[in-house]
Amino acid sequence: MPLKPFYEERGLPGLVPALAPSAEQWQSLFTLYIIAAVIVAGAVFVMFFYFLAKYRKKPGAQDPKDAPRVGVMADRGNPALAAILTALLISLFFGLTLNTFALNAYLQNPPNDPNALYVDVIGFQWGWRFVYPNARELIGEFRVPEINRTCTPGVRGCWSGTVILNITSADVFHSFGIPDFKIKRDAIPGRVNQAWFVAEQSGIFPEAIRCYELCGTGHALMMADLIIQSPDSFHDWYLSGV
Amino acid sequence: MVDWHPLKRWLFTTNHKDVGILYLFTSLYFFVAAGLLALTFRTQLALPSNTFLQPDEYNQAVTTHGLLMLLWVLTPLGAAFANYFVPIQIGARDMAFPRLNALSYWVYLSSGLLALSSFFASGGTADWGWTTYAPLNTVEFSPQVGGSMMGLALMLLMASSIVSTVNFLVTIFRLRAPGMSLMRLPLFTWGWIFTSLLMLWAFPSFVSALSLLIADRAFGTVFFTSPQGGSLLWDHMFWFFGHPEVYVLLLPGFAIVGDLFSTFSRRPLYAKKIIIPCFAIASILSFTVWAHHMFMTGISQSLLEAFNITTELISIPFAIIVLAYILTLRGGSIRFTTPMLFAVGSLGLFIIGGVTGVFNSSVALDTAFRGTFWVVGHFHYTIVGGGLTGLFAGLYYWFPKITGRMYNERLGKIHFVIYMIGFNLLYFPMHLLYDMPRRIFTYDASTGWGPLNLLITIGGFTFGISQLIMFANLLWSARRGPQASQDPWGGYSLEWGVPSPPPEFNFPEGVPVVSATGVTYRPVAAANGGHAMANGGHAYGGHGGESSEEHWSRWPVVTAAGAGIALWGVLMGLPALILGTVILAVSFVGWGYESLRGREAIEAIGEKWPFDRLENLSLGMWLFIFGEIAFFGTLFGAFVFLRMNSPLSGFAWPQPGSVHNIFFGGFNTIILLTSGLTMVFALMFARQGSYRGLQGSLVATFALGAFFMVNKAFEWKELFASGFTFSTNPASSIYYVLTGVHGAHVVAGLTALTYLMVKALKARSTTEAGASVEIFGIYWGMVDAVWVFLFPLLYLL
Repeated sequence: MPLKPFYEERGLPGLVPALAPSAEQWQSLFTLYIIAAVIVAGAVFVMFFYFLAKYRKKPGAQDPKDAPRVGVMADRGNPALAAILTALLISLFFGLTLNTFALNAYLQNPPNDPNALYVDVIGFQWGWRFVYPNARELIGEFRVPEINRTCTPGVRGCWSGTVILNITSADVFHSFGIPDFKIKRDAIPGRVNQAWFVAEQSGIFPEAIRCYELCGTGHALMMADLIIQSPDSFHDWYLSGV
Repeated sequence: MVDWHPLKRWLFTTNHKDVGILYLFTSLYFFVAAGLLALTFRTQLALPSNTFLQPDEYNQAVTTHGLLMLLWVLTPLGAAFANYFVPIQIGARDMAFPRLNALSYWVYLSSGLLALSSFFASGGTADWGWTTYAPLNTVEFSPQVGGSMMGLALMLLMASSIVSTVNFLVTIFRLRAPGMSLMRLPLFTWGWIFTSLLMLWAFPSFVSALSLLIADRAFGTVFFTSPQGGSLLWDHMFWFFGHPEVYVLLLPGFAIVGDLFSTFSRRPLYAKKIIIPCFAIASILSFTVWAHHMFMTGISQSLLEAFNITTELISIPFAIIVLAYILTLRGGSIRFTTPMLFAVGSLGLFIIGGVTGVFNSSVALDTAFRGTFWVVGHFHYTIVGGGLTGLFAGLYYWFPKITGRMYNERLGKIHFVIYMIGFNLLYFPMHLLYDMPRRIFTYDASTGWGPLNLLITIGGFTFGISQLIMFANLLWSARRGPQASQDPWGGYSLEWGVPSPPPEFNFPEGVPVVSATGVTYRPVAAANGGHAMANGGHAYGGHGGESSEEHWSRWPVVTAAGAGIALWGVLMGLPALILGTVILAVSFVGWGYESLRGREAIEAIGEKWPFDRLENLSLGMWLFIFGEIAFFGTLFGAFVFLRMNSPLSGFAWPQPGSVHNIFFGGFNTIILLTSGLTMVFALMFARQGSYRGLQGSLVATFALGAFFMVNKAFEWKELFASGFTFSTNPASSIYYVLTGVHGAHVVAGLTALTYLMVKALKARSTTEAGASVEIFGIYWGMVDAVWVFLFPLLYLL
């Protein structure tokens, strides 16, 4: 089971997270790391506490023969143990890293999708501006279509649900994040960074977009609502403002 | 009649133990200050939509908490123990350069006061987070003068640390007792060697980042305001310092834990010969992982994947050390007194922090963690859990040695229990808040973050209050505690072989001689094979009625006060600047009147490998140059970054010859290189004992150096007149900073040269000046060599 934030378990109203494949994949990678961590740290702690309990000083016990005294520290140890531990850790990291790189490749490379929606995201002190291909602009709210698997490739006006973001900043260093989707990318003045996602479920998610780099006094309030619409209603909105 | 004696002692002392105590009190004072700041913003975050702090107050509190804890608390607390115990552990009677040691402390204090006083500047202090990300750190977005003061305070602190690292490294490498081979050094001293090396390499690169920032803020250069430099230039420069810095914070406490595991389990350290190379490997790797702080910046993915791997690799040496520590316990007879409890706690918390660190190495998982409370939780487990808890273990462990009295064991155990409960309540829930951004001053109840934040705040206050128990315990016990024996724990390092507290010159019975069977003490007369040293009575034990007062110097405190007051001028205006500069000038003259060696006659009489052939002063100068290489290297790196980034961001770097006069620059290069040649002559004449030749070649060197600076001034004037100013473009900014910084080194060299000339003139002989000429020659050679790189970089490429 993926570890869920405290509030999700409570099922508090209005706190249902938006869904996306990126978040699901992230959760499964996270779970893999958690399992590895619990096994490794668990083994270490069991050994640690076992030694602490077993070798605690008994009443009237003598010091071991090689107990350190001023100026003397006997030499001992087995270098083979270090080599074994290194080999074990490297093989563990090898497995973790392969999975990490696979997810990274997924998160970093937007699909070659002719029906994708491209949006310029511009961070500023303190808010987010979203500029759509037809020059429609939104501030403080971000509308995207949910996934649509029936789109014919290349047909204009049919949104597949793939959303590709070109993220930059108008002033200082910001970081654009949609925690529900596990999507994040720094918004840096003078640079354009790309991120992408597909939303699986329509809905209104207040303040689902946040800034993740301290950017001045308004950092905490630098949020935007995420509005995921059905493809048709998104398209109606998209055309309505031009 | 007021008895000034105690005050004078603490102001003028150069004794390493006194300096250690000064470091201890000062770092704990900053610990309380930075901890109270943390409690203010934890109070703010305890409840959703709280209004205890205003946003700008919150940001200042967060920033100052971070900077103080990292730079003015943890490392100096380690330095307190290092000052007090490293010389004893290696079997020396003091540091290699006691006056420089005192200077490091006073500059540290003055930088800390400068940092704290920046709160009172109009608009407050730095409010950009301890990471100081660009371009929020520039004047456009953070105009408050307090931010610049914080930058200057950091520079001053870095200067103090760099001087201190040189001092420690020379001390440890050159002043070990007979038989004290490197492998026999206790783990704490080894930890401090690597801490010092990391500081010596990482801190100068932070100084160069700060130089660019202060140039931007004060002179209008465009490093962090232009797209060619900007956010990423700062990121690279900052994290190249910032990641090794976290090991600087960890290693002293982590090394103490190893010594304590051995001492309190009554077993030799397991695989010490593996642990020490692991420290070395981790230290080297720490310079290859910085971009894991930049996973989301959109730089090359293959580069980031490489950093992903190096970050995983760095956990391997630490895993080996942790395993070795745990195996040390096997077959032991463990005594759970307070120091051991804190050592156990430190290792346990560090394991958790280390495991979450592996999560942070993942370039993909970082899409969730970056900038969230997960990261805050992680680094507090490593730095506070591993580092600070280890240092507190050391504080209890060495308390009886420092004070000669025992602390109250029951209160110590109560402190430990509350400390651990508070710690885990405070930092564990942060991992569950991996959606909550760091450094937000408020959040809405609908986020659901309220309950965990309340828990964290309760943990924070519990953790804070637990420290009061320690302070009360230690302060009371220092006066009223029962007498402690010489060796209450059965420790193995040399401080447990001398009385508690140790006498003035550490080893009352003579020179410690270490062998495989233990330590013996050789009476001083026999220390040098029956051949009395020039300062035989001074070497150990304080024979011959030597008193510490003979070693007092008033100049360290005066110099530090001058530097602090001068930099206060940023806030207080010109009078403070002038006053500070006058005090500095007076102190420099004062230093000149003290003999270069007279008060620092700590002769090497034991183990010196691998620096048998270098003198203390030359080794110190070489180490300093090691730091200079890091400083200039990072500036060259900034140059390369700007240059490579220019075409991408549409800026045409000026063609060679289009701005700078290559002929004039080449002419000046020849002048500087000639001054290097005359310096070689000076060294030759000094060795031959030719007083006239020495004086002549020193004057020639001075004249050539001064001529170089005059030419430089003309060059700057011409460039300014042609419209090529500080703020023209990145090419002009980096030109002025590089040549300016180099020029400052030349001026510093000319000042030192003036001393040499005066000395040689006064003494009318070469003996006094000989060694100084050699040391200055190394420095001057470095200044020349830097220019050999600068000239083609700035004029020809």
